[in-house]
This record gives sequence, C-alpha cells and structure tokens, in this order.
Amino acid sequence: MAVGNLEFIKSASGTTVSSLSVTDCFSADYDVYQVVIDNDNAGNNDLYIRVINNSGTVISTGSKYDYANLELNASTGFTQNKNAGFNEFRGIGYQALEGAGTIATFYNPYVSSSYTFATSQTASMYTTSSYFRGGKSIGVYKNADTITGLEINAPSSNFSYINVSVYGVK
Amino acid sequence: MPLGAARFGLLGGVADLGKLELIETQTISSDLANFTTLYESTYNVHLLTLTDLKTTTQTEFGLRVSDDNGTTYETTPYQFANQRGSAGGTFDERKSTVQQSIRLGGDVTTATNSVLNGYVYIYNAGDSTKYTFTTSHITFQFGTNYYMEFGSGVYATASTINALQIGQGILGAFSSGTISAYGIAES
Repeated sequence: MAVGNLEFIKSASGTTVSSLSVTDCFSADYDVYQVVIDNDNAGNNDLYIRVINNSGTVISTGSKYDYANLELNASTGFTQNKNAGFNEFRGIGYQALEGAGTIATFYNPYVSSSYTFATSQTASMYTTSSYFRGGKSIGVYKNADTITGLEINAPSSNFSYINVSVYGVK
Repeated sequence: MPLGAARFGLLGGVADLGKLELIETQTISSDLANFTTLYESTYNVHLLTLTDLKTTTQTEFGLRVSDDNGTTYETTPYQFANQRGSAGGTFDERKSTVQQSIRLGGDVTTATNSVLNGYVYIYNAGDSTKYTFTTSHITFQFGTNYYMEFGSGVYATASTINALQIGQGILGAFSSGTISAYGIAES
C-alpha cells in the first residue's frame, strides 16, 4: 500500500433514488477522508447529508449538526446559509439539473472521542444557461461517537444518478 | 513510481487502489501552461496545484478547456462565482456568466513577492455527457496586500475535455511559476 497519498476505499452509486447510503467507508485506518460526490437531479436544492454510526443508525435527531456555507451565484448575489443544532448537514453539496461536482473532507469520523468535522467545495449548474452556483461549506457533527458512513439525500425529486467515492488520506 | 505502473495498480505486487497520481509538472517562463495529456478516460477528478505564479502586469489568472487535445481552447460558454477576501478587511464577489475563461484569482501584480498559490479541482472532464466543473481556492499577494479567493466554475457544454490551459488575464502568457496536474484514481 502506498504511503502518503489518497487511498481509494469504496464507491457507491444509484439511479432514480432519493437517497444513497455509503456504509462502512470510515474506519480506524484513516483520520481524514476525501469524499467525491457526482450527482444530477431535476431539483435545485442542497444535498442533505447525515452521518451513520457504527450501529448502522442514521443520525437524524438530537440537533447535533452545525453548518455554515456561502452560496456563490454567477448571476445573482451570494448568500449565507447556516444552522446550529440541526438534524443534518445542508449545503455540503448541491443538487442540479445539469450536474454537480463536490469534494468534501471529513475529519475524525471514526474517532469515538472526537466530534466529526467537515469542509467542502462544490460547483453545480441548475439549468443549461442560467443558473450556475458554487459553494463553500463547513460543518460539525457534535457528538463524540464512532461514525462509519454517510447518508446523502435529495430533498426535492430523485437523483437521476449519484456516484460517491470515498478516499482515505494517508 | 512511474505513472504507468501506478495506473495499472502494481506496487510491490499488491493491488494499489486509488490515489493521487501525478500526470505532469510544468515550470513556466513567459508562456501559457498547456496540459494536453489528462488521461481523462482514467480520471473523473483532476487536481491542479499552482505554485508561485507571477504575472507580467496587474491581472488575474484563469483557466480554459479544450476538446481537441489543445489545438484550440474554448472561449465560451464559461461561468464562475468566486468570493475574494483581503486581510486588510474587504471581501467582495467576483462572478460572470459571459467571461471567456474561468477566473481563478487575482489581481496579482509585478511586485517582488506578489505571487499566486492554490489549487483547482476539475470534475467530469472525461465524460462527454456532462458539463465540466471546477472548484478552487487561491491565495496571493496583491502588491503588498494579502488576499484569498475561492469559488467555482463551469464549462457549460457537455463534451470530453482533453486539455487545459492556465494563463493570466483572458488568457495570455504569464511570467513564471509551476503547475502540476494530478488525477484522482478510483482503481
């Protein structure tokens, strides 16, 4: 195995689905992970992302998520989106009719004594010609437990396709 | 490790799944940086690292794409949206739906330590059915003032992108600097 590199862990994909779970992608082997999200969706909304613990439970209650992101629009003003004590991350990536590319970095998800932090950058195109938006986001899952996966949700309409690849940073 | 060996996943006889693989490094002197080999059918995501880029005049840096192996670089349709911020206190929006390149960051000047550093991710270059997206994060000296600029861009045509060009302004040769292109391998 290479040392000092990105190491592919797994990928997951779906078509015509409203949600995709990427299970058992975080482990004791790495502290930092790069997650590449490639998706296409008829809606124009944030991706809603929740963590999955080592019991296989999707954490969707308990107000354990904080996030803040800046939405960068090519044709209108930029906007801030943020929440403290929420039940999911919003804006780590976007839905978009003409596709979207996202790289998110997750820190310490598997470390049971640590919160799970996230940073991300994303680019998306809602319609063919008129709505390009990017995003820069931070988030924290404020519970010190063992996180092993992610659930990625499309809040408006299904994903036409979604592909998620997870890499460990060695 | 040679790129070819890396791509075929052989390292000491053990399957080596997924990594950041160096495609090419260019050290520029009074030229554009043209990357005409991307192995776009192998990599869905590319990474460019920009090190100590200097301009010949006060201007920004930008990126263009090519679908004919660098014979020509597209001048439309690009869109971008960036947030620029100064350590001196001013943050502002940099955006366009009509500029003939994807803006990465600037202004950089010709002052001694006025250089630009940063990185760019490129998504879907090898997929003929998808738009090509970028995200970037840049840090630079604007004369004696320190700035950062982050944001995103798109080449809004579904096509196979097989070459990339980095330059100053929109879009010309720059004074000097080093740019490396990497592919993120999934297998």
